[in-house]
Formats: sequence, structure tokens, C-alpha cells
Amino acid sequence: MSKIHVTTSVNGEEVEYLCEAQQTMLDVLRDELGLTGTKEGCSTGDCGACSVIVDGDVVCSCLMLGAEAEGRNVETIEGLAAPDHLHPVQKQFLEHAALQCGFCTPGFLVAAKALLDRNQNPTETEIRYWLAGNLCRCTGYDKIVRAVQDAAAEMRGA
Amino acid sequence: MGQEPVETKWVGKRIVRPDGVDKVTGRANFGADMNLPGMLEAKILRSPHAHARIKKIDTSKAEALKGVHAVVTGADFPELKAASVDGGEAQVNLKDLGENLMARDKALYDGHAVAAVAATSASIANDALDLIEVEYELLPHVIDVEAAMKDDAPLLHDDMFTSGVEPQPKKPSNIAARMEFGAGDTAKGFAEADVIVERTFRTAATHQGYIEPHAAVAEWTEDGQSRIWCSSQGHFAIRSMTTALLDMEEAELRVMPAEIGGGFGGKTTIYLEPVALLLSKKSGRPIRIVMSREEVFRGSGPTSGSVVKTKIGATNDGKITAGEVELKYEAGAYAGSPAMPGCMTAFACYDIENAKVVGYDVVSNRPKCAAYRAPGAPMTAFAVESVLDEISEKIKMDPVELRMKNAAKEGTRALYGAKFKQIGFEETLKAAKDHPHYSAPLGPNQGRGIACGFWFNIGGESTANINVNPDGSVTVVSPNPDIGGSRASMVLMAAEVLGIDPEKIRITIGDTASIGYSGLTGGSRVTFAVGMAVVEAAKDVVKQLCERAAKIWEVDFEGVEWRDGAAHPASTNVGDFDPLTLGDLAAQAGKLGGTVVGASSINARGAGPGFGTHICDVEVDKETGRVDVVRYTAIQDAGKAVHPSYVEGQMQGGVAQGVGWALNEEYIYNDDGQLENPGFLDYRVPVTSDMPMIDTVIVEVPNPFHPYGVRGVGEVPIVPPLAAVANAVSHAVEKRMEQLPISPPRLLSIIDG
Amino acid sequence: MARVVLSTDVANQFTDQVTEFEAEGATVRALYRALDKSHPGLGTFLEESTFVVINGEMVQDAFLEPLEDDSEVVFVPKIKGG
Repeated sequence: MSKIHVTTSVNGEEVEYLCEAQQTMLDVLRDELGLTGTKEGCSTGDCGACSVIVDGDVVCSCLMLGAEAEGRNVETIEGLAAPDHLHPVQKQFLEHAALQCGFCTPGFLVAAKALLDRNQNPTETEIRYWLAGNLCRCTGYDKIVRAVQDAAAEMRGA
Repeated sequence: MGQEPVETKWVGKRIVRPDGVDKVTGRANFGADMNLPGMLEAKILRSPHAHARIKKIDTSKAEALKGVHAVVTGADFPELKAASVDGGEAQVNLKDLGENLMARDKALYDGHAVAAVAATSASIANDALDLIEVEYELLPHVIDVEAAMKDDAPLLHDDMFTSGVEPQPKKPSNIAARMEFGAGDTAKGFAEADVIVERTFRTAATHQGYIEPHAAVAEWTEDGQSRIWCSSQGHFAIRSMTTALLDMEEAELRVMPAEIGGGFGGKTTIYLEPVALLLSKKSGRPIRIVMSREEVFRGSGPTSGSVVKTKIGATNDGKITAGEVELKYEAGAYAGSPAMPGCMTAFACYDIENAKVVGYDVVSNRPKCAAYRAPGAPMTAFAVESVLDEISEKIKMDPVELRMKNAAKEGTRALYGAKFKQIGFEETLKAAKDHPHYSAPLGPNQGRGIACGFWFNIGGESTANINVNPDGSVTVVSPNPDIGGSRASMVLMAAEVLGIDPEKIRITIGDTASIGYSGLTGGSRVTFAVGMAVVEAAKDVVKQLCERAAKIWEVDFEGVEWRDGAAHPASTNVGDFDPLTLGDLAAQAGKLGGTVVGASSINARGAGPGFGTHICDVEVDKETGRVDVVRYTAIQDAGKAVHPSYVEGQMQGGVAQGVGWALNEEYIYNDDGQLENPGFLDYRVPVTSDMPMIDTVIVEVPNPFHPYGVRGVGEVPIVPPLAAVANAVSHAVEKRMEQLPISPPRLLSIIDG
Repeated sequence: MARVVLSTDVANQFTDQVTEFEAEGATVRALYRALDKSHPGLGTFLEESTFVVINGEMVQDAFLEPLEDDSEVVFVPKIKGG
């Protein structure tokens, strides 16, 4: 079976790769591009550990085929921080101790970033429903929600 | 009077965790992130049957598939000896461990591993699994714990004779063990009671639900230097169990700890590592095995479902006169449910003169249960705390007051034997009563529940190394995987002893070849026990630095004292010397006999029991049966919170798991004994929108046996929530909840009568 | 002489249901051996399957821990956490 050639943008950089027809975007990121920050927790779209942003929307990369990335704009956890500083939501996760094991963290950060890109003043309820597709088993979500609230405030300059 | 809190400079500060940036940037390497040149992917074939004899396995077609490099079945493993092996906390039965890892004669549950394939890609390995032909002879199965205890139940093991019964039965059964604890005379106690409540409670099997599936990478080498990279709650235990099953010496295997994506007890055993290593040996290539979520549910964890009969008597003025508990815990396919700690914790919060607890450890055709956060305690707490709630209603006494009147305190002898030293249970009750949550008004269809919980906490074997670098910075080597921020706690404690800024200290987790043996990351022991090892290693560094300062100053060792990160003359009598800082002494280390390395190896003793009291408000939708937790407050005695944010995090996380256990989570089996909900869609853990903020109150009653007063904190918080939620729902609907989970259909049928 | 405290189960199995009694032993290890002599198998059973609590302190395993005349030595089943 011949492989599919894909040209896409990952974290603002043009990349090309060959993938098999059945390979998911998650497999491509982790196995072909070496971007292992995106995690696999279920491969059925239930846990959100593999969240990436595709053309501005949060997507479970386990539910997207690698071939579907052709011509798209993919953002992963590896692209969240600038070389010299963390994104406010990364910084607030650290300040709030909003992670324990850290496995779900990349997915939460990517999802939260997508929220804050479109709404810099979300209510607690909006944050909770926006992040309802990301499972965390360690924190009980309290510190995650507070970190996102404070990141929003920081981004508003409040 | 009890021990007073210790003044600290760094212990108690909320620093950013040392591994934090790696974990928010995606750089941290978890089990599945390891990639070796030439690595193959492996997959495991699992039994679709609940109970079947394996008559024949034909792997020839799978082996012939292009891209397949090796296939293993139970027959490829060394013969299992009747022996026990170190499991990091306790000895484990080697035969059960090996048979659970890969079935030999019988598959004992849906999901039991029967073969494994290594191939050039995961998809080829999956294709190859379909080509393995297993001839099964189906056997009758049993899932339910009480059905499994019946005389005519299908037998899982024909050599299982109930232990703890005198004389030991000659007829095999599914009851692995009976256990009993008692004190006083319960018949006399019940005769003195004004009110007696007796009920039977049931809980479903629940999974730990860590988000990272099990993963291991193994590389066998022919010269006795094999390596495994995996995420676990203790790489030394992975080494001992893997080498025991593969007839290797421990020095022949080096286990590298990956970051661990949650465990909660579920990553204290092995499912993949020996299989990966054997496939590597057979194929000559490195092997990676990563479980799918479905495999995690079918083949790992969970904790026991339970049936707990509870009877408690009390006087009208709230004195508990007697208590009895009879519990039956599902062990899964092999002996070893947490029935024993279930018995031991049942009445541990209370000072009860007349009590009796009987437990049964029962096998059935389910996955072998694994430890899950305070193993065994949440189920008995659900039963006991529910009955106490009902008694408080009957005698019209405030439920906190009832508990206060019977609370265990210093000097109380727990039913399991230990006499408590300084403990903080009463302080948690008082904090609950004083908390604004406790007296806040409730809305329509709302109810409030309170419940308490206990966990022993343990110590155990622990090591630590501290290297003083030539520039005066410091590296700590810890032997235990950091599952929830323990690196931060270790650094804080090292900084406290060394008297330097935590920013000067970096910490790494040593592999099995880099540091001495340590027990598991479990039992709420790491911050307490490994922390104690770090404190000892730091004291060792300070001692060596003071010795060197004494030599430089040509004074006695006693004439030197260490404070604020420097050696000072202990008094003006010693002489007038400028302080020698850690940096000064490190820079001259070579001239003073070599680099300074602090080391410690201890068997940490003096673990301090932990207690918690929780307050939960729920709102019930009486049309759909949905329960929303609308407010929650968790109060716990931490002894001393080394890093308060991570203590709060443990409390909040335990609450969320307990809420899931109470409201939604359960293993559901069909009539053929197959698990029907092996995925997060149908096994529903709480999500962000299910939870409110979780308020926390950390009470600090010092553990007199720890230098800073630390108690373990990780397990207590999952003990009270089952009953706290159930009591709240019971009040909201004015009917007593006896079975978990209180899922919408179940609650609806209760409301509708 | 240390004061030994056993759980109901262990007492049923080894000591005719006596849960508290005095026994000789200058250390925990010596106590195990003395118990093996007075109640065959008891010391070995306790050594393998219990933690030691001495005067309220969870010592877990400690062969060489000295025992005083008034020491209270409680044996509790080994605890396996999560």
C-alpha cells in the first residue's frame, strides 16, 4: 500500500510527511514528526489528551486522519510557548499547581488556549463546559479552572 | 500536651515544581514516548471469554505474516514456581502474578492476556493477533461476589482452600480468605443501645482511571544488561517482579522510570514489562507495548466491588455502644482483594468498646484487582458513615456532634490493634462545624451529607542521594517516581536542612542502577518516607561540610554549627571565623578530600495516621435522577503540608474520584461475563462540568515521629466522599442510598419507589 | 518482658484466643524467636505477614529494635497502600 504525501503547517512551520491511509493525526504527530507532547489516553475521542488546534478549532487528533491535515494549520503543545517565555496559561498552570501527573496537561493547555483565543473573559461555567472534553483524574479540576481564569485575566491585562 | 509545630523557612512554601516547565511544554517523557532505533511495536491478544480452558494456541499463521518478528504465549515463559516476590510494599504470589500476566492453562476473565505479537508496526501486530488461533473450552463463569461464594459456584482455582478458618476447609472454594477483628462483646453493646441501625450496602467495581495507559519499552541484551523504560509507581518493584518471572538476577535488568501519567495504586504491578522483554529476547529488537484504553479497562486495575453489611447501636445521647461489619470484596480472578484493610479501617475513626469485623476475600471471573487509593477503605466507610448518618437522624443529633462524641483520639486503641499517638481527627470535625459551608442554607431539591475517613499511611524502605556540585549548587537523586509533585516537596525539605534557596537545588529520579532500592510510590508514603531519606541525606551533607569547616578552622567538630547555608563558629569561645558557605566549601572540595556526597538509606518508621471530614451538597433532578454536586468542602489533617498546593490537589483529586465512584462509575458485565463498558464514553468519570470548586481546609496536627510533623495525605481524601455524596442524596430525596453508583436510572427507580 | 498484642484472627490461630500477653525478647527479632518457641509458628507468621507497632509508633520492620520491659508490641497485618 503506497503512502500518502501531505503538506501542512505545524506550529507555524511548513512540514511534509508520508503517512498511511489509516494513520491518525495523533500517530503522525507522535511517530512521524516526533512531537510526543500530544498524548494518547483513549484513541476514541473521549479523554482529550490528544487535543490539538486545527485552523482555530480544538480537535481530538486521534479522531482525525493524518491525510486530512493537507493544507491545514495545526497547533500542538510544542508550539504554545515562545522561545523565551511561556504562554500565560502555561505559566498559570505552574503557579496554581494545576497539574499533578501532567499527562492530561498538554491537552488541557491546548484546549484552554483555543478558548482564550476567542474569549478572553470566560465565566467559570464557560470554562467548565469548554474543558468538559478533557479528562483529568488527578486534580478534581479546581486548580485547572482557576489557572484558566487567571490566565484570562493576565491576557486581558487585568 | 502534644508536639508543637516546627518552625520552617522553606517547608510549607508553594514553589513551582522542578519538573513543571517540562510538563507544560510537552517535553516530559512518559512511558509511551520512548523510541529506540529498530524498535518494534507489540500487541497483546486477550481472552474474549470470562472462563475457559486453553486447549491449544496455534501461532503459525501470525508468525508467517510479513512484518511479524516474534510471538509469545504462556508456554514461552519459565515455569512458575510456588514462591513470593517483592512487590515494593509486600510480597506477592509469583504464580498468580505470572498467570495473570499471561494465561497458562485457563483464561479467567474477559481481557486475560493469552499471547503477544511484535511487528514492525502496531497495525501489523494487530492484524497478526487475528491470525492466532486459540482453541478454548468454555467453562461456567461467575461474576457477582455473593454468587461466587455459593457452594455450587463455578470454581476458578481447584487448589483454593479458605485461609483464616479453623480447621482449614478440605473442599476448595472461591473464598480465598476469611478474616476477623474484634473487641469487647457486641451482644452486650447492642443490648445497651437505644437505637440500632442495620443495613447492607453495595458498591460496584471501579477503575483507577489514570489517563495514561500502561506502556513499556524493553531492550534485552545477551550480556545481562537488559533495560526497560516504563511508567510505574516503583521501578524497583518492576525490576524484582520482572526478573523473578524471567529467571534473571536483579542486576541483569536496569529499569528506567518514565514520567507517570497517574497511577492511584493501579501502576504498582506488572502487565507488560516481562512480555516486552521476552519479545525483545525472541526478536533481537527493542519492543514497545502500549495498552489501548479498552485493554486498560479489561486487563488492569480495578478495585473490588463490595457487599458490606453494617450494624451499629447507640444510646440516645449519642454514644456508640456496639458495631459490626461483615464485608465481602471481589478480588477478581486471583486472591488479594483489599478486604483486610477494609476490615482494619472500618471503625478506625471511632472509639468503640464493642466491635466485630469479619471480611471475605472472594475470587470471581473479573480482572485481578489492583490497589486503588486507600485500598478497601472507601467501601466500609460508605457503609459505616451511612449508618452513622441514619443514627444521627434517629436520635436527632447533629451528625458532626455524633462523630465528635465517639471520635478516636490520642490513646484510643483501634480495632486493628494500634494505639493512636497524636492524631487530628477531632480537629477536622471541629473545622467542619466551624466552616461556613456547614451552616449555609440549602436550596430546593438539595441535600447535605457529611462523612469521615481514615488511612494508616506507611513508611518503609527509602533512599536518597545528594550531590554537592563544585559551584555550590545541589542535585538530589530520589528513587521514587514523582506522581503528583513530590519533586517539589523533596527540594523544599533539602533546602530546609541545607539552608539554601530551593532554586539552587535540582532533582532527578534515579533508575534502578543509579540509586539504592526504595519501595513504591504508594501508601501515601513518598513525601513522608522518601522525604525523611532526603532529610537524612541533607543532614549527612551538612555533617560533612561542618567537619571540613572544623578542620579549616582547626577547631572541634562540636565547635561548628550550620545555619543559613553556612558553617559558623558555634559560639564566640570557638574563635572569630568568617562563615564558610556551602559554595565556599564546595569550591574547595577537591582540596578537602573530594566532592561532598550525602546519602541515606532508611526504613522509615513512625508513619502518622491521617483523618478527613468532608461536607457535600448535592442537588437532585427528580425527573431525570441526575445528581449534581453543588458544593464540596474537604478537611484533612496533613500533619504538616510541605507544599500546600499539592496537598490541596491530593484532597481535590480524591474527592473527584470519590464523587465518580458514588455517582457514575461501574464495571458492567453482560450475561457472558464480558465487560460491556471498557471505554471513557460508557465508564463515565467526572469531567470539568460535573464538578464545583472543591474547598479545602488543611489541619496541621504534627506527626510526632517526623522532623517536620508530616503525615501522608494522598489516600485519605478518597475515603469519605462515597458516604458524603450518598448521605447528601439520601437527605435530598429522603430515602437511604444503599447501593453505588447512584446513577440516574438507579436513583430514578428509588425516587419512584 | 514485652507486652504483645495480637489481632483476633492471629489469636484464634495460634494462642487459644488470647490477644494480650507478656513475652521475652530484648529485640523484635528475639521476640519472634521466643514466640516461635512458646507458640509454634507464631513468630514466623508475624515476621512474614505483619507490621510492628511499638508503643504507638509504626515501626513496620525492624529486627534490631530494642524492647523495654514495659514496651507494648502490637502486630498488625501488613498494609498495602495505593
